[in-house]
Amino acid sequence: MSTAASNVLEVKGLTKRFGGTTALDHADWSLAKGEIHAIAGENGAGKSTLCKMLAGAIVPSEGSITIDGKTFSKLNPAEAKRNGIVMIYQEFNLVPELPIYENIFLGKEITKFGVNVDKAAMIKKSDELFHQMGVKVDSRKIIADISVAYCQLVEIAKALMENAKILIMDEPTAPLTNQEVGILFEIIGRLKERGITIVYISHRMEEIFELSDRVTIMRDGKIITTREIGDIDQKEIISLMVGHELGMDFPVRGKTERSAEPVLSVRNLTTDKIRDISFDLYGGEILGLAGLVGAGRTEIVRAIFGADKIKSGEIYLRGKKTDKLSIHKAISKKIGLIPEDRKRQGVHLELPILHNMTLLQLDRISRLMTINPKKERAGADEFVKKLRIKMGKLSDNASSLSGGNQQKIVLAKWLANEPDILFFDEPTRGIDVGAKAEIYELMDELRSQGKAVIMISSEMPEVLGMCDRILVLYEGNMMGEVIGETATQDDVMTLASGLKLEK
Amino acid sequence: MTANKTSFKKSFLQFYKKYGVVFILAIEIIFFSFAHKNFLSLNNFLSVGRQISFIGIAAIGMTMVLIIGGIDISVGSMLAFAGVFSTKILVDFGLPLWLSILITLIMGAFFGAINGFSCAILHIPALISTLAMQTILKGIAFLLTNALPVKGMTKEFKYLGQGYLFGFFPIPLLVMLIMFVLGTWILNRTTFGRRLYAVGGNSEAARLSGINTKVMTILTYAICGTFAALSGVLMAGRLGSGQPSIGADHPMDVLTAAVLGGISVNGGKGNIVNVLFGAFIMGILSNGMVMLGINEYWQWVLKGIVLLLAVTLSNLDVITED
Repeated sequence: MSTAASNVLEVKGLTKRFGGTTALDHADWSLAKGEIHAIAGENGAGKSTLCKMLAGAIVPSEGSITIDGKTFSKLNPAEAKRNGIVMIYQEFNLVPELPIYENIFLGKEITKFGVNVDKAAMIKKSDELFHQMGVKVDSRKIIADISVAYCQLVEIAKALMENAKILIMDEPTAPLTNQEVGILFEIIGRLKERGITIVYISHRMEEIFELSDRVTIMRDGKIITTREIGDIDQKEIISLMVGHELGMDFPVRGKTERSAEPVLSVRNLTTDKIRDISFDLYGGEILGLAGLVGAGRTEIVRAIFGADKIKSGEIYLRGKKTDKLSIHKAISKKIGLIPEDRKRQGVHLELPILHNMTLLQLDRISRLMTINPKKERAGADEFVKKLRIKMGKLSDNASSLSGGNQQKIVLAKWLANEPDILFFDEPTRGIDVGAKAEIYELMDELRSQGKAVIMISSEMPEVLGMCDRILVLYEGNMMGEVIGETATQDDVMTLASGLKLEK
Repeated sequence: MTANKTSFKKSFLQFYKKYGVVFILAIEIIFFSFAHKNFLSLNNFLSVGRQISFIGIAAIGMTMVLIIGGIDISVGSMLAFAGVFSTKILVDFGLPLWLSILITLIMGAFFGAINGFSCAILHIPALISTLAMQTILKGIAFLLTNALPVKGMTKEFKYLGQGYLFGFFPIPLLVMLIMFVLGTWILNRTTFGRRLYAVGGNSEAARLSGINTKVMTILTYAICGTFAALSGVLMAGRLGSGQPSIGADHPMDVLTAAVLGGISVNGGKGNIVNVLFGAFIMGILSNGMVMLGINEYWQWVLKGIVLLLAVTLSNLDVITED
């Protein structure tokens, strides 16, 4: 068939396993020469895993990659580049202290007599590259002094320098303004004319439709379908991304009356990452914050908790306006935060389980600075039983525990402080099904005790199953509120993609 | 086959972590006992005990700084500074001994706090900020004395460095043992110690648990400065005068004692009790080499190698993962 001949890249049975989880499951996929191919999917669907294997950043567990008829079972970054695949990551790969042209020629400097770096030649060649892209950039500027949009142009110029045949861009428009997006699209159009194939990962539906020729939809590590862009609409993409199986039982809700007055109110909260966020949180409810990675969910709770700087906005605790909180003050006002990155922010792996669990209790269990070991143990034993923590001895290091039990000792640490307001940021990430169910039960119990709970999760079924109300965010803005019991995944996904609900 | 190899590696690591320092000490004692007939005697051990007490006391502070993830190079000049400063205020102003010592310890805490401030607030790497402090304190010690030893020390002061309890037990050794009890209490039993390990092990998790990591850092360096100043005071008593030029090898010895004791240079890990053994390993090594007539230059070479070995051993789990 003619398509096979025009395919620049084919992937067969490509699979990647990390430990027990399969990030990409037997993917068969192809790219046609000169097309713009969008990849859509929720967080963790496997988009980045697929692209990184093409770029040689991670090694496949199984399967093959065929580029221009040459078949590889794995690639390293240098091989990928030699075969014309270049990936532009969200975090740019530039040296901030060096000028643009030196970044473009890093490691392949043009030299005179093989030793002297030929500055003038490199600047001239850089200007040519930018000219081809149709933009004017002074290539002597230092990277640290130019905007994100320009950094992206430099990355593209670097890719052209490498003679890229396939350019993979991971959410290139996320940090750009509307005007800059327009310029980027023009450049992408020009690259296409030159026969370069573009792979484009994006969460923005309009962009996918504006720009791409074909779209591939991924879910749970599998390629669901690849379609011509004319054969599909936004609604269908979203419902394919979400899928329709719900695999989890959640505690029955709705028995608890929520408090008459809000426990926590936030008005026009603004930081570097979020804008004008306002909402009320009541006792006896679980409020969900949904949105894609980077939408500002974590940033909201971190700002309230005093972990991030607040630019403007007010916070009211039990009706009373509070000054900006420090973490220490937030804790003493009975607020708790179960952070998203357990290993980096939650648990002290090299400390005994006991010391992890009682870190917030030190002042309560000590006299004259000296910790009372009996009091300490008694408090910890109670939570080991209550949360059914599976462990050796309390004196073993936390690193000896499974992910789920590590999360439980983080929970124990916070519950011991008897918080009224508790933020759960991705509480079930990376833990087994049994521990997940236990954490759901615990959250439900907190709700029935009248505590105010915020839950952040990237797992849509979990948010819908657990939360009474859900606030959906998109790029730092609040897009809307839906009711957990009646909302569908499509509703949440639509709002999270920056679109309005049609009612 | 490979499974056997890895399990052997693992069990060796566990053994070394638990008893390695005692094991090394035992081998060292056995070796020197055979190498020199006068080595194995109570008197020699007490004399080694006195020599290492200056290292041991400073190593308690160094241990705390290492646990929080830092390092303090300035303990060497602090040894000289505290010696001349305490002697000078005692001699020139006629202050009572206890007051001279107290003021000197406060000065130690002050300069230590500056180290902590540089690291926590100004974000200067610990190695750089304490190296700068090492030079600053050296300068101050020479400025105070015009490079001459401070003489005229009282008998009581000398007793602190040279005297014996019950006629046989060296006072500095006694002070060191008391300080180790204090250090063990601080690190293992107090709220401060708990928070110290928490910050050193995972500073972001500690911060999100409401611990003020900056204040903790400043306090820790202040404590380290205080211990270093105390060792300087005792050293002045031992020498019978305040000497501005001492302490060049001190940071190295103190650091090696702490690392031999299993304190990780990467922070968050280690038990202070083993540091006492680490100090003894260093002291016995010096003592044994002197007895065997090995010249000082070779001693420096060997001490450097010992530090590299000690860090290697404490890093074995990381190295074997590569």
